Amino acid sequence: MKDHRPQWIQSGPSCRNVAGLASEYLDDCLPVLTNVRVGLHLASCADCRIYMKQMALVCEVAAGLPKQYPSPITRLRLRQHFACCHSPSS
Amino acid sequence: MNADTVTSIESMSHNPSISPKLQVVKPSGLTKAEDTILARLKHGDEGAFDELVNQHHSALIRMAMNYVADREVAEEVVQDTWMAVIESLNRFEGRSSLRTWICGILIHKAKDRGVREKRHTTFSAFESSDDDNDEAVDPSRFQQTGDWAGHWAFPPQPWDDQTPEKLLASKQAVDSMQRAIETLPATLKEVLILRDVEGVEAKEVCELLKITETNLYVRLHRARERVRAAVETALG
Repeated sequence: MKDHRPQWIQSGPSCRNVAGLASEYLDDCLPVLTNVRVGLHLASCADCRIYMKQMALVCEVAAGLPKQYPSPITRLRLRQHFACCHSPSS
Repeated sequence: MNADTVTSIESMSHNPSISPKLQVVKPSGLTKAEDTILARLKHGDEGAFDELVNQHHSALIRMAMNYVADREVAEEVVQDTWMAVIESLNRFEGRSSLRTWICGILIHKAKDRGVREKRHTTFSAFESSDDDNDEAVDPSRFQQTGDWAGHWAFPPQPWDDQTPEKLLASKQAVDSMQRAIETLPATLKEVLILRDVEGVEAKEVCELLKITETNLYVRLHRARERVRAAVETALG
């Protein structure tokens, strides 16, 4: 017997749709109804939950990438220029 | 860059249809924290300047790399940007956020430097493409026909027990992410750096890059997906 999708899944967004909306869903900027539809799809689709979790992880790791700072000599140069232009006594 | 350019960057978010004379109540684009640091800067507080540099230097370097040939040139562009910020600070009226203002100066200087060195053309030749018609996720990963069309044919495999902390501790994963970010086309890289790496609000990114929110999310999603795919490959 052929495995057919339940009717309620057919009426909702496909995995392809959900994957395409992942960034907006994670940033919470989808229209309310679309947001609910994506949420319902995720509740029933383990593969899309994995995809969404991986995208969220990428965002979180990107935020934690190492910071970059100026070299000591550049910092000194900038401080001197700042002091020269904005010294309280000037 | 002259003072007029610095001023014009600050005013870029203003509605030109409103006469300056009518703007009695000046809208402030500053957050409370920025307001405080700006006051300290204008009083010559060197500690405040250090804080400002620590907060934004990383984003400026990563953004400058979008427009110029190498890290060394990017460092120069960022240093020039800080010099311009120092010199124009007293003219900054807080109509945009401090970050938007500083990034605006950086973009102007980096583009100028890139054009002068005529290296931006060279970059484009090596950049990976960003075709507007491309879907972020490879369409071949989904069922193409039948009752399950549009559903995963080759779903993503779980990254076992991965947390941000574990991923950040994995040199392989971080290196693959860094490489993936470095090789993104400039239009994708700038949104990912601003939004995800530096945590700039979506609205502010749009204002800074002069793009719509729809366009922002098209680019951002492609960028995130390419980085995700790189980590997926690296973790095997």
